[in-house]
Parts: sequence; structure tokens; C-alpha cells
Amino acid sequence: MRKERNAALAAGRNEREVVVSTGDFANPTRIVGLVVLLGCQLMGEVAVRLTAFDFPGAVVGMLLFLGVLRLVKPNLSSNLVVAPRLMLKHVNLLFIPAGVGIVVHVNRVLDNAWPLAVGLWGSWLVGLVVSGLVATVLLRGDGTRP
Amino acid sequence: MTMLGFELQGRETWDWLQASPLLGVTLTFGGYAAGRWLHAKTGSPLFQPVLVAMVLIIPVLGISGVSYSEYLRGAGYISFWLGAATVALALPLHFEWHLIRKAALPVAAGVVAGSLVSVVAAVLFTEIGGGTRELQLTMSPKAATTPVSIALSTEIGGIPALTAALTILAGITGAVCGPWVLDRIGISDLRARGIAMGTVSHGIGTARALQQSQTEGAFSALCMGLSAIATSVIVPVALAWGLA
Repeated sequence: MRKERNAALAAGRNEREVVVSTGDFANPTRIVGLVVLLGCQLMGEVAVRLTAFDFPGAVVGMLLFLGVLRLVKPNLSSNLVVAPRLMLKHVNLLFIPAGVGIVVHVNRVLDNAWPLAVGLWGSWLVGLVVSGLVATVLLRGDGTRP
Repeated sequence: MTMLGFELQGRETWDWLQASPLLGVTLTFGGYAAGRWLHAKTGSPLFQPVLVAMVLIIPVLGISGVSYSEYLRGAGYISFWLGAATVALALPLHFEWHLIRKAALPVAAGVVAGSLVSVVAAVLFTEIGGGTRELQLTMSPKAATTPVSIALSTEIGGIPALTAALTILAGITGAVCGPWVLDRIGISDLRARGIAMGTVSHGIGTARALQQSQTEGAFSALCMGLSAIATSVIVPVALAWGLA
């Protein structure tokens, strides 16, 4: 019962946080956010190639965009953030093509199902638990818990 | 075949469709829409949109004889936006900045400990399960986000495309089971939950964390980026030192 109510509350909160009405995009200046987003990615991708730095350019782009946001300090309905918010809301869509790619390796996966299952889930579980516990211990008692 | 005076050109139309990006784009959006619908209908975390879409699209490709590269002709337009979505993850970081700047040490320690354990355990558990050395190496970078895990796998002699698939599965595992496991072991601090999700389940785990709360999502997004950096350092070093 309480669980259900919490879920409903979380859903409602989520709705307010990330929902983007179509009216938002009727305003042509909303597209600014998309241009800035792609611009940051482009600069990040170019930078890692120019410096031969073996790192994903998109993550560098994320840091650049964070810099822009820290400087501009937009609010949630600002032109700068509407397009990125829409994109984050539907980010799962973008992983589907890579997920379907497993068909190419289906024979290899089935032949090695046991070692792959043990390796994947075993290491995922201990990584999650260790990371969460270490963070919890260090965060304890800092008084800023949200 | 003649029907009502028309000449139906089935073969030619099918050839056109297979070569057209329209097929891959429609299948991907269709699978995603079905996944979201099921997720909303059941409210169960088991029905992750990525998982549902895979389960629907893969048999369709198999039955219709459309190869993965033909599917990618359209689906590639969709996965292209993954880079821009990674950039967009700066958004929750910005809005939760006041919490993040105070948590630098727990974030760094959580990511480094989680990534180290994850890499060593990936090799160890794959070996225990009877996997070859090649398979162990293929598994080792799977906690990092896809572009990084693929690059690392190539560098250390794994099978890059299989690493990509394992990375996606690690993400889906996080989205489906992550919050449940964290509840079981009593981790309720939203920041710690985000740190754990981002460290081992990258973007797909972060998408789930963002659904839970903006704070959890922000920490997850940050740690997904940091985990990519940590894993890039840890994998070659752990192999060189014989830790894995």
C-alpha cells in the first residue's frame, strides 16, 4: 500500500520534472538547446581526436555542456534545457539498436552461456554492492542527506 | 501476380524495404513504444523498454530474413543520438550540483572501488564458469559505457562486438534488478544508490535511476562518466599486474 503510494508519488514527481509539452517545441527558440548539445559533442569529439586522447568525445562534450550550464544557470523551462530533457526522457530508445546486435553473437553466447552468465551477473552484483556500500559509509553523517 | 488489374510487385517492394532505413527506424520505434506501453501497463521493472524491444525485434529480423547490418541502416540513425544524449547528462549534474560538490570523496571512492572489484570479478567469475582467456578479457571492461568498453576490449585482445552486447546486458541488469538489490542490502541514500548504479550499469542504469529521482539520476550520470575513466585505467593495469 505504502509502496504503491510512493510509486505514484514518484511518478507524479517525475512527470513534473521531465514532461515536455508539444507547445514547448512550437516556440522556435527551443531548438537552441539542441544546437548547443550537438555543438558540445562536436567540440568534444574534435578535441579527443586532435590530442589523440583515448577517451569518448561525448563524455568530454558532457563536461563542456556542464560548463555552459554552470555559466548560464538556466531554469527547468529555459530554451537551453528543453531539448536535452526530452532526449533524456527517451534515452532508452537509443540503446535498442546496440541491444539487438546480440543476434550477431547468438551462437557464441549460447555456446558459452554458463561462463558468460556467471561472469556478467557475478561481477555486476559485487561491483554494485561494493560501490554502494563504500559510498554509503563515506556519506554517512555528513548532514546533507537529501 | 495479377489482382484487380494491378501488377503486384512483391519481390521488388520487399527488396526496396530491406534496403530502406525506414524498416530499421520503424521497428526500433515500434519496439520502444511497445516496451513503454508494457512498462506502464504492468508497472514491473522487468519490462524494461530496451529488453522488450530486443525480444520483439530479434524474432522479426529472424523470420523476415533481415540481417543485422540491414536493420542498422535505419537503426543507425537512432543510435547516432546516443552521443548527444550522453552530453545531455550534464543536465541532472547541473541541477544537483549543490549535492555533488559536497560528495567528491564518496563519489570517487565508490567509483574506484566498484570499478576495480567489477573488473577483477569479471575475469575471475568468467574463469570459474569455465570461460577461455579470450572470454575473460571480453568480459573485463563491460561496466564502462559502450564506446569505452569496445575500445578497451579491442586494446586487450577481447571480442569487441561481444563486449558491446555484454555491456548492454550489464545495463539492462542494472535497470531491472539494481534498485531491488540496493533495497535488499539496505542502501537508501539516494546519492549512494546513484553512485552504485552509474558505476556498474552506465547509461541504461542511469535512465532507470533518473526515473527514481533526479538526485539518484545525477549521481548515476556522474559516476557513469567517472567509471569510464576508472575502467580505462584499471583494465590495462590489472592485467599488467596479474590481478586479473
